[in-house]
Amino acid sequence: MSDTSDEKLMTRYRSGDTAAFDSLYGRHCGPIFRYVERQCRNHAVAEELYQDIWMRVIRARKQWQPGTRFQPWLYRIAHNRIIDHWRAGRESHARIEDEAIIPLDQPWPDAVMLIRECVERLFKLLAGLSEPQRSAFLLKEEAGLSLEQIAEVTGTGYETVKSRLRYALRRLRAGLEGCDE
Amino acid sequence: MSDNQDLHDKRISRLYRMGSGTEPPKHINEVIIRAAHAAISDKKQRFIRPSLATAAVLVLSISLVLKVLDQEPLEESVVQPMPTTVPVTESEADIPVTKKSKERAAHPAALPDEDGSERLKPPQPARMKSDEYRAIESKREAPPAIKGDDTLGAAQIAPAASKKEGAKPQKKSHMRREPGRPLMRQKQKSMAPAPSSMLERLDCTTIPLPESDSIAEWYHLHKAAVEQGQIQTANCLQQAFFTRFGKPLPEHLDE
Repeated sequence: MSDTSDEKLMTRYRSGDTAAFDSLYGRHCGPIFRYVERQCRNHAVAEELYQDIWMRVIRARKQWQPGTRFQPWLYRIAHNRIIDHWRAGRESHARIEDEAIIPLDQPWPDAVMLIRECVERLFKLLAGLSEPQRSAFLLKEEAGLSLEQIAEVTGTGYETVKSRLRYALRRLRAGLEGCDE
Repeated sequence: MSDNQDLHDKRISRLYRMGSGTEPPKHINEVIIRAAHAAISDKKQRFIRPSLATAAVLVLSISLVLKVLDQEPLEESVVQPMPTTVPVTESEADIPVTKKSKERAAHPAALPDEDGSERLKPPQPARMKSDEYRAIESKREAPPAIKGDDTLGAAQIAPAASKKEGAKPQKKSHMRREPGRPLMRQKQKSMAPAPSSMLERLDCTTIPLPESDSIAEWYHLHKAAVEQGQIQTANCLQQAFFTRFGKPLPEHLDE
C-alpha cells in the first residue's frame, strides 16, 4: 500500500476501508506532529492539538473532495487548529518566543557537538520567527509543500508566502553564521 | 542570489532534519486509529438502524391493513358508519335485557359477549327488528298465551309494526292469506284453516261470536281483531266461521 497515493487512500477510507486510514496515518503522523510541536512549543499542548487535528480529519472526511490533494487539506486543518488555539489565548505568542528551545531527544557525541549547537540554534531562531514566517518555513521543510500549496493552507497569496519565506530564511541564515558545513 | 536560492537553503534544511526526529506518542496513535475505525462502524450502524426501523413500521402497517380488510366484510351490510368502540363495564352486565336491547339499538357496536369479551359487531337489522317487536309487544295488551306455540303472536304483529315504523312494505303476495287458513307466519299463506291439532288447542269459549249470518260482520270483526293484534280472537272467528258456514272466512268482502 506504500505506493498508493494519499488521495486513493483517503477515498478508500471514505468508503469504509479502515486499513487505508492506517496507512495514511502512518505516512503523516510524524510530520504533522512535528509541525504542531514546532508551532506551539509545548509538548503537552502539542499532543492535545495533534489529537484534535486528526479527530477533525476523521469527522471531516466526507468534506474532502476526491479531486483535490490530500496533504494541503490535512495541513490546512492543522494550521487552522493552531490558529484557533492561539486566538483562544491559551498560550500567548510572546511567551512562546521567550521559551527556551526544545531540547533534543538524544545526546549527541562530542564529535558532532558543533552540529548539535547549530541545530539548537536553528530551533531557537525558528522559535523567534513570527508565526506566519515560521508557518511558511515549517510547511515547506516539514510537509514539503510547494509555495502554492502553502498559500492554500495559510489562506494567503503566492507572493505573500514567497515574501514570508524569504524573510524567514534571511533571519535563519543570519543566525546560523559560523555553522558552515 | 537567485530567487530559488532565496527560498531554499540546503544547509538550513539539513540542520532542520537533523533536529526533527520526534514522533507522536503511541497511546495517541492508538486513540486516533481507534476513533477512525469507530467512525466507520458507527456509520454502518447508522445505516442499519433506520433500515430496521423502516422494516418494523412496514410490518406493523401491513398487519394493520390486513386486520382492517378482515373486518370489512362484516360491515358491508351496514349502511351506517363504523361506530366507536364502547368499553364493557361490570355494571353493564347488570342492566336488564330490555334496557340492554334499547342501548344496543342506540350503540350497536362493540357489545360484550356473554363471557364479557368485547367484539366489534356491526348493527344487526334483524335483531333490531325483533327488539322493536318486543318493545311493541310489551306496550300493547298481551293476548292469552297459546300453549306450545308462541311463534304465532310475534309473526302476526310484524306487518303492523313495520308499517308503524315506516319500514319497507312487504310484497303483496306475502300479505295475502289464503281464505280459511289460520293466522300463521307471514311466509305461510295465512288465511287457510289452521290444522286440527292447532285448533284443538284454541280456547274460544271466552270469545264472543257474532250471532248474525252477515259475512260482512264476520269479516270486519276478524279484520279488527287482526289489526288489534288479537290473534286468538281472529283464529277463533275463523274457526267459528268455518264451522257455521262450511267455508273459510273470505279474504275480501267481494268474494
